[in-house]
Amino acid sequence: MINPYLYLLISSVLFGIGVYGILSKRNMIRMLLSAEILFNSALLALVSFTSYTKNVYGYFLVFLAVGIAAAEVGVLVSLAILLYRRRGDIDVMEVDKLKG
Amino acid sequence: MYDLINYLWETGLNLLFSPEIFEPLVFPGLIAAFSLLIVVIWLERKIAAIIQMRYGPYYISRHTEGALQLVADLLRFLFSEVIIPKSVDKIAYVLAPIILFAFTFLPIVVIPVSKDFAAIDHEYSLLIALALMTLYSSFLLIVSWASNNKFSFIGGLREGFLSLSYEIPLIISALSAAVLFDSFNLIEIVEKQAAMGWGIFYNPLAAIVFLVVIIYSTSRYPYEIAEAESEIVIGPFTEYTGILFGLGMGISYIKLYSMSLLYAVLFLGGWEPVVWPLNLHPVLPGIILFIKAFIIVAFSVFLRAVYPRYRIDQALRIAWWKLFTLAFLSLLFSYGIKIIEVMG
Amino acid sequence: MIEFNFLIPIEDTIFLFSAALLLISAVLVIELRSHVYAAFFLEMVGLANAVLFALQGLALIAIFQLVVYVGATVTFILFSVLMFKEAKPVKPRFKLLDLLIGAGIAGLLAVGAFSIYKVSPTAGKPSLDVTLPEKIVSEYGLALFLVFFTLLTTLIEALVLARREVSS
Repeated sequence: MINPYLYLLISSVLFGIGVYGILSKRNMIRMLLSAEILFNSALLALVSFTSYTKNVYGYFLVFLAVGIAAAEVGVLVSLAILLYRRRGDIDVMEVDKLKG
Repeated sequence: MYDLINYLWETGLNLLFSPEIFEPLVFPGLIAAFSLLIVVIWLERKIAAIIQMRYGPYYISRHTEGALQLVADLLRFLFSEVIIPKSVDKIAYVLAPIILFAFTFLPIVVIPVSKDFAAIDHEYSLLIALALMTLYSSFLLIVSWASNNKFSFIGGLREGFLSLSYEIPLIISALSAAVLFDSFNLIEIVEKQAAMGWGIFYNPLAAIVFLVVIIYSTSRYPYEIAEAESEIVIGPFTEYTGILFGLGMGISYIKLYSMSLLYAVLFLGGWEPVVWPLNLHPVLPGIILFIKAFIIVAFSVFLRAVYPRYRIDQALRIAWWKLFTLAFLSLLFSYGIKIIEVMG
Repeated sequence: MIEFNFLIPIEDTIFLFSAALLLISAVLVIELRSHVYAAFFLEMVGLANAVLFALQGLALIAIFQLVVYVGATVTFILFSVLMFKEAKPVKPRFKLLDLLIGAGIAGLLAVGAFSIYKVSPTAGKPSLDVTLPEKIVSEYGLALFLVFFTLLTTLIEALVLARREVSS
């Protein structure tokens, strides 16, 4: 049996990687991917707590989280595609110059 | 010395016939799949030829109607040079078809051969098989992107569009079979069918939807959109040569085979009925399962000779309007049967 | 049925492999130049995460993650990324500062998780499929091992092919 704390350790390292990615990149797609890494790390922490405390409600929370992530990604990616069509570029620093 | 050899022979034989090795390597796995591949592609050419009043494969082994044609083709693929074009992304170009091939094989490991013979007998084995099947499209996208070719890229995008639309009817129609038999375990599903009768008679709607999805997702003929030969050469595998092309050609057939095995288990009663010579060893009922799967494979291959191809927008409309609705109706139908059972 | 006794503790091996795959592919998602590769390695992150879920005894959640997250969501991202042109690489602003912030947050979280883990030994109702992965790993370990082995051999085969092309 593996020590449950190891999962939490991995999850926190993964969260650090995601934070670094989201801070250091300016490309919208790359920031979206980093946000997905953050989501994966949070999911791993949630699952290991669920497994550790054997709480059944954790199950439903995880199912909900994965389902909502699917929907959220659909919205974000279509936003990125629209932005790309409009400007031919997906640099986030340029987004505040959008008008109309 | 003799004892040692005898001991090694015995343990080796035991190891080979243990389900964990026999199933992925020999029976529903590699060897059976390859021999099915050889027979089925020959059959496909021959059926199309007979319907169009041609001879079909003829020159190699003339006395057996050219049955060895595919062996010759395979040898030719093996020994021809693998040309890697300059403009491709080399790592992805070489690795992606091989990983894709390995992932297409994985669902077969979960499918049981008989009551006492399964490599992985898990509570959720049906769901595991479905989950492994959904990984197919993303690797195919990588294959099509790595080739850096217009035709293969268009083929990959078509497959992406189709996969987003066929996965939902596939999963819902499989779930309606699971609802009908009240279990996710494939062995239990077959046991229930042995007691009640085949799934196709209880819920024909789900069986039809699953069959159409099999044809849809493995690019057989009315939906042969991702590999349309007359439009985009051969889709994602346009740039490939040699054994890599051979793998690419085999992949959709292997997927067809694994989905047909799942169909036979879910709707056609799996390895039932187990009659006399088959109950001697737990592997033998698998022959019936194989025959049922082979009938499905042969049927989907036969469609090449009789149907034209849909356009992609027509295929997407069929998936989202007709298949999606029918799959939901089949789920409701299964629940209705369960309610009637409980009431009566 | 024969019993197999492994010298290597197979559960730990799977854990180590999938944890390494998880962290390495997370780094690759951020550092690789090509968007398509980045999206592909995000898929690997999801896959490794699913393996970790299954190891903790939540098989159903692992399957759900595989079908919904890896099979649909990330495939959708990959599919969309394929349609973009490859963007020109943009120079990051404060790379070292970002790295420090990331590491600091990771350390903070690790310490916090450790304190929570020490505090709460509360055990609720035992969930249904907690013992399942142990069963899979102990009884069907060989099948898993074979699958990994097949993948490994195909990888080596591919590497040989690729190397031959480079040298010529």
